[in-house]
Amino acid sequence: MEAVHGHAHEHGHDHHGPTGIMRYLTTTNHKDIGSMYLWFSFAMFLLGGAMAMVIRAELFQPGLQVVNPEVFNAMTTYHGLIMVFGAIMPAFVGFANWLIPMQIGAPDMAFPRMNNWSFWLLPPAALLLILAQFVPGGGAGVGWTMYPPLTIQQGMSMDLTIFAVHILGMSSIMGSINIITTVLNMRAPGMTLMKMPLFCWTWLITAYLLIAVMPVLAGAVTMLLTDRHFDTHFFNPAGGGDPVLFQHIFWFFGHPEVYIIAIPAFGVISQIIPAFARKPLFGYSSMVYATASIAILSFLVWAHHMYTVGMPVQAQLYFMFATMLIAVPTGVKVFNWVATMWKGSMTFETPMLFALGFLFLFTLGGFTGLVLAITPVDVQLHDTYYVVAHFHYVMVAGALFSAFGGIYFWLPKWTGKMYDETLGKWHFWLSFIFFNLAFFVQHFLGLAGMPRRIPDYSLQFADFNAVSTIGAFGFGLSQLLFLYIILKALRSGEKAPQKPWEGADSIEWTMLPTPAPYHSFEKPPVIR
Amino acid sequence: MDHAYGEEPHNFVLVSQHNHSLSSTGRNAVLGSLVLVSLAISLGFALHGAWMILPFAGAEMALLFFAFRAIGRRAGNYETISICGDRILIERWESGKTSRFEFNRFWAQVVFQPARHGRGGVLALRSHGREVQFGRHLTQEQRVHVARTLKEQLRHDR
Amino acid sequence: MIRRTAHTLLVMVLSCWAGLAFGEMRFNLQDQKTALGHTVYDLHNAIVLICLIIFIVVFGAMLYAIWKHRKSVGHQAAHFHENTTVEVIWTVIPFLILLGMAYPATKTLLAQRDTSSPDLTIKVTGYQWKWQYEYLQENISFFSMLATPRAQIENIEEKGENYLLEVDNEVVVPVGKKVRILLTAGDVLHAWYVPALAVKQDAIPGFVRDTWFRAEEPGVYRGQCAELCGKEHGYMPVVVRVVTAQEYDEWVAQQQAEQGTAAAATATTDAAPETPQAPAAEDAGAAAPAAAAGGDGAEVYAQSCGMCHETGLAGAPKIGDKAAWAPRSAKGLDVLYGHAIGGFNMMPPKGGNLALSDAQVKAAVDHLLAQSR
Repeated sequence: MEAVHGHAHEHGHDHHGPTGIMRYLTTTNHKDIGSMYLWFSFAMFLLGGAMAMVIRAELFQPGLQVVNPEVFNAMTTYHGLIMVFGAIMPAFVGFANWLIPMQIGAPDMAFPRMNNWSFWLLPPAALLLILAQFVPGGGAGVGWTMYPPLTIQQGMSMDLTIFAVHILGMSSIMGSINIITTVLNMRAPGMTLMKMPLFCWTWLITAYLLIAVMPVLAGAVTMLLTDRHFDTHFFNPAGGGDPVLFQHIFWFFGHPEVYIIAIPAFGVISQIIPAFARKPLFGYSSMVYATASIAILSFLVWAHHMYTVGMPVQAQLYFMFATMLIAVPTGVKVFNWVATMWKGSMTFETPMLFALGFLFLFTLGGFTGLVLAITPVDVQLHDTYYVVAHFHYVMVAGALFSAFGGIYFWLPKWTGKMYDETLGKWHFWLSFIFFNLAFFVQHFLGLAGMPRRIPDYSLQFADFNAVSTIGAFGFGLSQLLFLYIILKALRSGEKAPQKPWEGADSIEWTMLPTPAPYHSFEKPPVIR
Repeated sequence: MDHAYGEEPHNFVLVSQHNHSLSSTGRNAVLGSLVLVSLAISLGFALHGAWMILPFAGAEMALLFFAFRAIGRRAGNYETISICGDRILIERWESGKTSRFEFNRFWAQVVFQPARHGRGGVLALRSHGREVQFGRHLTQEQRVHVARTLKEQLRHDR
Repeated sequence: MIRRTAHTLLVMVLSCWAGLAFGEMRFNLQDQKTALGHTVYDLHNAIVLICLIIFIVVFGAMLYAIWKHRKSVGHQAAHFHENTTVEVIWTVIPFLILLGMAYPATKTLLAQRDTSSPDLTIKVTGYQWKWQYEYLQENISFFSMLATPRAQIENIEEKGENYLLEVDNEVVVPVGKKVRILLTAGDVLHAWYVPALAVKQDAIPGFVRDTWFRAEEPGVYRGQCAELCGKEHGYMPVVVRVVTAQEYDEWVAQQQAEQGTAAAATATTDAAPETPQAPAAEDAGAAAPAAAAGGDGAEVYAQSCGMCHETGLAGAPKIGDKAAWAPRSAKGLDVLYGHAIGGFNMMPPKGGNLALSDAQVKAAVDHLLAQSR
């Protein structure tokens, strides 16, 4: 056997495919596709971030200074859509592409060609979203939730947006079918489900959620489209439709969507913390069960996003109780992470800093989520800046911090180059401080009654808005430092050792050379 | 990809097959549960008037079905290439069909066409104008490797 | 363009200082002016306190581990990775804490949703971008729009004290009375939100929702539309002026005089103090055979039918339009009842409010016909 396999890794760098742009257009290699997802997502992150800067600049002080209300509303809409569908989701699909085959011992994804298609659907969708800003009437000012009947009033940009959402949904469906079949079917002999790194588990569950809810989103936006142009009356009250039905449909998709974003982030954190605590993950199986329970509960709580639509009080009670229940499995996860650190031998390199930042701030976002779950309190806070603060704590400090941590963690594995540790720590601390400056004060704004999605506000909200804007610009600029760190690592980073992190123990670290060869496993690894 | 030497009458055997960690029961369970969940959701909304989720759920389930069928079909597929005395034998088992190709070891030639435009390279045995491909479920890199191994083997014993 | 940008930047830098100097810092919900609001305020504080305690315990443990169990102080990693007892404990304890929170939350919610037996009912309709207030018993109706001058928004004039939270016509209610707000919208979604009164309810076109408040002390309470409703969403404030009963009566009389509706309203206002619902039902009952079982046809009409039949929305024949109604009533009462209950052309069954009983719908039809004869 050895005789035959003696050269296994030697050909690691042979690329027999086309070169240049064609390599990327036609590639079916999971690592190429993973990198493309990550770069695409970063580009979208900068675009969505630029929109956030417009929003915060306008809100820096009372009165209209930077943009008019129509543009402001378009910015909030596309900032949300781009960040959710263009930045965070593709980022974690990028992680999935890179890591899942490596972590389960597969040569590639189950359907490499489909993998290529699901990536190349994204850029056209992004172009549509950008184009929507420049058609007559400007971007649609409806919020990422696209509630009718306001959506029915919008111009052509709404149609472009709907098409973009369709395409993004198609991409997600193909991506998740690929991931679910890869994780289930492509595991190397000996790699049982309960031996998989937790990241694979979180993506398996996420892919299941995606497959279950993506048709709901597709149906919802299609009905918006037919209401707009084909004289149907699903949601249009002028013809007997029910606008609230759309909200039910949207949030039936939207709440699982929140976990579609958060659950892979949990997976990344569950890889990082044990590596830097030099101690195995505490409660592996309870982590798996907790993640699965969160996923199941996510189907049963959607209407807590719409406590003020006037549903029957029994329904409000049910949704309140079900929502509160989510705190239990989420708590289990947080406790397990802390227990993993307990009596470890910790070091605090950049990935660990981001993981700790995640833990700290995501838990804070979880607590404000609990406050919002309480219906009578939510009636006060619904559609105020409190909600904005809450979901930025779970989306930015949750998903985004986890993605940053994951990139610093696996960058040496992916590229063979180390990033600059000092700059990495600067990136963390700048992000952490400015993030809190930008979003913590928004809790106070919301409590005092500042509605979200307004371009201008009364004088009592002026101080905190000014603080928030300063924080937001600081946070935005800090991300340029991140770009610099990555480019610097790629161009002139030090050569990474085989295992840069002492405590990393999943098989992409222990069985594969660093950087990972273009094709990972020629001989199925044996898991004991 | 597994291979073993020696056992008579083969001098060299190479088996290539996909990882297939999902049993057919598991496949049906996953597919079945997804169809049920998806159907329940879309029918539920259809009852409230929002029937347009149904076609999307249906299309998605169809795609999922084909994907699972594809991995199911793949699961049993394998190819072996064996050198056995002065014969080279390629046996292919694909979706329940077996095919067998025999070559004279001294006349056969290992052909490898490098990949173009993202398509994997083609590995084949050629002799007397006849060409048989090998390594359909190997990745590009594995094919390169197998080509090299086969060439070595043929040179060795010649 | 460049000049404007430079100006903006300058304004930004300056107001960074100025902004921090004026205005009050507020870290919690607004001071509540209703009994329910106090409950909500306390509930919120209690939950935040519980969260804070858990946060301190959990992150205290984490910080301790970070401090003591670090490699740089030479701590060796232990190897445990499971402990069923501990895992069960930290599943059960949060569950118990949640049960403890659920009880007061449920009680508050039930109180919040109890809109029964109001002293005063106001129908509020959201439009892009103004609110319409209709006092159903008093027959007063007016629109309420932003009163802040455009020049203040565009930073030409100095901003007033109630910048963006001032309207031309405030909605006036008596102190200590239970005010029921019936909400709907004429175009897109809106939400009627007054933080100090602990009230927020979506206004949904085609549907009527309700909420209520009972203000404890006179004053002016300001809020805003809370559901994105288009470009002027940020410019449709809600201002509620709570006054004494006497001032309220004076205000009502003045409004009725201005609107010339005093005569029409007399019948209801006279009877209102004792039993606000019953006399109206009698009025309708005199005109309508079905009203006995269906309650107040006028009120049902106002809640569920008025949206279209008041305005002619979606081709609905308008109330009082004799020419439009004559051929319809010629079809016979039963046919009209049938259409109203089962839906007809653009008209949804029961006007879209399926919670209505058949008798209520019939009462509304009777009311509509009586007004259109």
